[in-house]
Amino acid sequence: MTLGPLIVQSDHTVLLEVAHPDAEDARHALAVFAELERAPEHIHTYRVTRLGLWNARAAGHTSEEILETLNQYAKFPVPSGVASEIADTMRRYGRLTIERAEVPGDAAAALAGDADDAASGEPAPTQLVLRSEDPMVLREVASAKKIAPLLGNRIDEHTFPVEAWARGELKQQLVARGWPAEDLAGYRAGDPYDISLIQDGWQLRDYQAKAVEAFQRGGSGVVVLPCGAGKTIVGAASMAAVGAKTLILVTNAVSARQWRDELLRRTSLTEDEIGEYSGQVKEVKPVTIATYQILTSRRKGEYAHLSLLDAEDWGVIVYDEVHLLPAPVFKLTADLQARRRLGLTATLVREDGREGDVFSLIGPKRYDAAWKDIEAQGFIAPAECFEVRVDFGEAERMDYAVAEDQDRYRIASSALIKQPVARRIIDRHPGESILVIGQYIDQLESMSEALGAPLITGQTPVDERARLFQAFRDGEEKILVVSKVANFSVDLPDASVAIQISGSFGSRQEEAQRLGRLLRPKSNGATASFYTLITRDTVDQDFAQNRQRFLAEQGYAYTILDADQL
Amino acid sequence: MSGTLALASAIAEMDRDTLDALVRSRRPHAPAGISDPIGLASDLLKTESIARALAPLDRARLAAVREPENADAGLIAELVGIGLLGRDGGSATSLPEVRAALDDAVAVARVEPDALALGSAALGDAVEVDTSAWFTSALTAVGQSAECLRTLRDRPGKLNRSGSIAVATVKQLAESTGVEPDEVALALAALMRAGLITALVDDQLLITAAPSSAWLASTHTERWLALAEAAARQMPAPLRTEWIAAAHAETGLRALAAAIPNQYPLLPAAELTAVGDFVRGAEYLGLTLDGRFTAVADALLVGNDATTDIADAMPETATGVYVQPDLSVVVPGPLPPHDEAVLAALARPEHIGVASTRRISEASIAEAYERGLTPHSAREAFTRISLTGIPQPLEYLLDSLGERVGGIVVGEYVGDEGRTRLSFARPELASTLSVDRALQHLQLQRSRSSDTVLYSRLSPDHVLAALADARYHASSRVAALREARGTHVDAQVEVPTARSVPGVAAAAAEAPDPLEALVDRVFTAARSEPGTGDFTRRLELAIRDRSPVLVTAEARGEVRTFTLLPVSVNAGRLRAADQAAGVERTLPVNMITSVEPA
Repeated sequence: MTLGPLIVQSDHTVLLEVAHPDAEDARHALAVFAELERAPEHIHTYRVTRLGLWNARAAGHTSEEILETLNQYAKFPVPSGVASEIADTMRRYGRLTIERAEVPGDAAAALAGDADDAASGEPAPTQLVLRSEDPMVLREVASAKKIAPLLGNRIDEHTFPVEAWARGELKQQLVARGWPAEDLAGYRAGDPYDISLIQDGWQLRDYQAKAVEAFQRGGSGVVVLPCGAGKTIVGAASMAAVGAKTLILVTNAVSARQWRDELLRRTSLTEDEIGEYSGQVKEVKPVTIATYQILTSRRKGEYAHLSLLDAEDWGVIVYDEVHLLPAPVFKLTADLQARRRLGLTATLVREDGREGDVFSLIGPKRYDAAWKDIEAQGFIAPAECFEVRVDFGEAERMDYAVAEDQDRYRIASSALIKQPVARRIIDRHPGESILVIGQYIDQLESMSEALGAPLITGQTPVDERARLFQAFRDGEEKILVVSKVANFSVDLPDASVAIQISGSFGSRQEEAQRLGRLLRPKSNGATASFYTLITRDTVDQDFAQNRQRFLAEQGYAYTILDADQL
Repeated sequence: MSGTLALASAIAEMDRDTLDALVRSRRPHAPAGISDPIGLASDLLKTESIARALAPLDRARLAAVREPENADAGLIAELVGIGLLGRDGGSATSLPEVRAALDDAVAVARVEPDALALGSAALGDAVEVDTSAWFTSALTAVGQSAECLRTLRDRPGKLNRSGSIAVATVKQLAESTGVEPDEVALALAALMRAGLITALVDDQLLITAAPSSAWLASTHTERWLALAEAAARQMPAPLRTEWIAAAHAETGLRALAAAIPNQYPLLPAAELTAVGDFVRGAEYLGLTLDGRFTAVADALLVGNDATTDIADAMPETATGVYVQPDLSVVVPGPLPPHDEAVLAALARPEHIGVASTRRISEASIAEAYERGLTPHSAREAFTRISLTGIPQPLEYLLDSLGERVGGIVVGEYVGDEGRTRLSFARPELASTLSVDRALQHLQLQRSRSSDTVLYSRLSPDHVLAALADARYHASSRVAALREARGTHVDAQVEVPTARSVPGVAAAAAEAPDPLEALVDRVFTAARSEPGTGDFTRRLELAIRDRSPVLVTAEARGEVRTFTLLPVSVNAGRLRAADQAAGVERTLPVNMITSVEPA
């Protein structure tokens, strides 16, 4: 029995003892096939999932390698059930492939002119096929109720034709049945378009270059980097690497403008070459940035802006914040499987559990870097998290006690005591840029008034938002009170303190995003501070427990205080 | 022709030990009414008794029951010993009742009677399996069983009317222990076999048994040995027979079990289920790995001492645990029993294996305080067992909850106001609770004499649970806690006394053994001179079965033997048809010196 740093458990979790001399090597080996679930100070928890194993298989790793890794670093023998499941799961990947095959004889004539997503330059008409060397596997999946309609009549015992429109849905269904197909059908090249990185006064960081390389090698897939680690730059560099017209899908208009600014700053693209397609502006240019909202907006039951997807022969589609991809976009993405797709995110955790759809429709995870690693390299700021517990006043406690369940969270998280406590926290950080973030507009309005700080909500006009953000960046405004509109893709480079006064119940995703607001490296190297105000013995505390646990699991210093300890 | 006399002859020839073994294996239906070999033979030839005796036999034995003339002497002796063959004139003979029952049973089992002698297919070649990691399953089973036991100690499980464990109990245990429901079922089976939990069928309760305290206080190795030995002892007989025949560990248990239905074609479904349960239980306990017995299991099954082998294989006790800022606790190996008990009181299990993970929460600490731990003793425990100190969030919880212990005290109350009295440190808290919507169902009533007291008509347990759900930290043991404050942790987390199982042992000790007495009677009767009563019974049997007998009679010094078909025995006289002479004869029973099967 070796005394390695890993403990492999029968529930497919793997515990990594951080202080063990072999921990670093084991961590690198694990990252290939296991998802980091929790990274508190001493023991990190990884989970070996089917998607993780298929991701590893997609990257060319075998089950033998993985079991060897586990055996090499394990403190106790790997449970036999885990070993056999790893072998079985990995054996399933690639047994089915989606390929492009020449259309035989007569069918070629029928298909001529109908090969919408045929790779450009192919001399003969081709069709998509689902192929397997194992006829039994092929027969099993082809007879499934949800898969049969996606396939044509069997060509031979190893091959079924796939309807051109069904490539994405087929992959989804195959993943759901545990037989992920390797998509070897290639991509449309798209209209070539010259995009270069202008590395003037900055350089692509090592991990960013690796992420771009991994994406290029895989063709489609997801890059996971923490907030502040430069995902937009990875996107820009990937676009430059592909050199084709690009559609970028983002969460909102502010984010769209930040993408545009970043592309103008980092690439050879000029304003004339970048279009914005949002509620306010509808431009289609060689590089077009659109919001998920506009893409999924409907008129008379139909998607009104679907034509955007075919407005140009896009060579790459970039999905920003892929963990937030709305369900209808998955559906639209299923039809875009012939185009290269790059997903960018800080976390693959989806509150709706649709990680499998990201895997099958956007692609496998191509690159992942732990927050703490990048923090250690100095590319994102270190952060400390504080949970500050406040007590209701007697009258509020009574209001809370008699309230209906659905009102309790609002009452608890809007406790009046949070105003003076927020003020005390602000006083602890003189001269720093501070965000006060909340969920309820009336609470935010009164907080804004109490602190004498401007308020940004969903109702704030885009231009006004941009002005206030700029003022914040310039140091003219030291405190901003913001609603959840600031959760995503708002670039606030100098924010070093965040005070969360209320949140979306227990959302881990929101917690990650809010902390992300603070993680841009500070010019003075200071540690960021993330405060959450919690009303004691209420549902506020229950929900906070979830979110704070997530932060501690990410490895951030985490302290609980009573308000009077401030 | 009836086999009663043939079987009675065989019984009469048995020595006492053989007779004792027969009686114990066949367990006659009405032992008190049996006084001699004929009585016992009659009982053993009842249809149900024969079916029970045939059920566990393998094909070779069943074939020998049908055709003893083709069987070897050892097998014959074995079958006579269990009352499935009789004796006739010194040689073994098949019994018509047994043979008929066998033919019926094999027909039902869709086995060709003639195919019984062909035996079963050979087991596959042994496959190499590395069983060196058996201890991982063993420690997982021990940890999970201990967790189930602790939970049952606090809250007994429920049984169905049939006595089986209620699904709700399995689910509840799974939820509170973090163990998968199918593994909970295996853990409960292991605990039950080892006598650590008991089913009170009348009360429909599953409770911990008296030895559970000692078991929880023992080392992991000792705990495992108790579970494993109990399992080994209860290995189903057909499986044990096959395992011995297959030279122990050479063949996988699963292969042996898979061959059982064919090899034992009359085995009842319940016993086949027991075989399957044993296979699963053995794998769960680490007696087998991938279906292959370990060397330790081999030793246990033959009754050898495996203590040294077990000690050599088990990992060393962990020197401590990792307590992390996210309030997770990682236990990197088996802990000493006392540390394990302390940790179990403070942190709830999330995953139990060789290494385990647990989670500390406000609720778990509040519960630990309720059990009698104090902030001081909890901190002392963490200081002692944590390899990583006490993270600030844990310090905070220990202190803040400790300060609030006693804020609300819930106690039993006898009076018109209700069954439960709630007293408060602050009157405002009493006011809040009395209007809290989440507590409406408690129907809290204010005291007329104090603004810090409320009453409820519900039980204290119910009130405590409702308060916990509504996030009020209430205690029912504050007085005990105050007394204990500052005392050593040992005093607080001692493994609680298990509920004893009343009367079971005493009842077992007092009961006389009816089989022992039966053996005495039959053995004595077989060795006494046969009298008229004995001959009369034999003749009556022949009349009932309409079967001829050899009757020897002595008159005036002349001894004659007739082959007779008895018609009646009346007023001390036998009336029978002499088939050889073609006449009817009448003989005084007191002249008869022997009645034997014809």
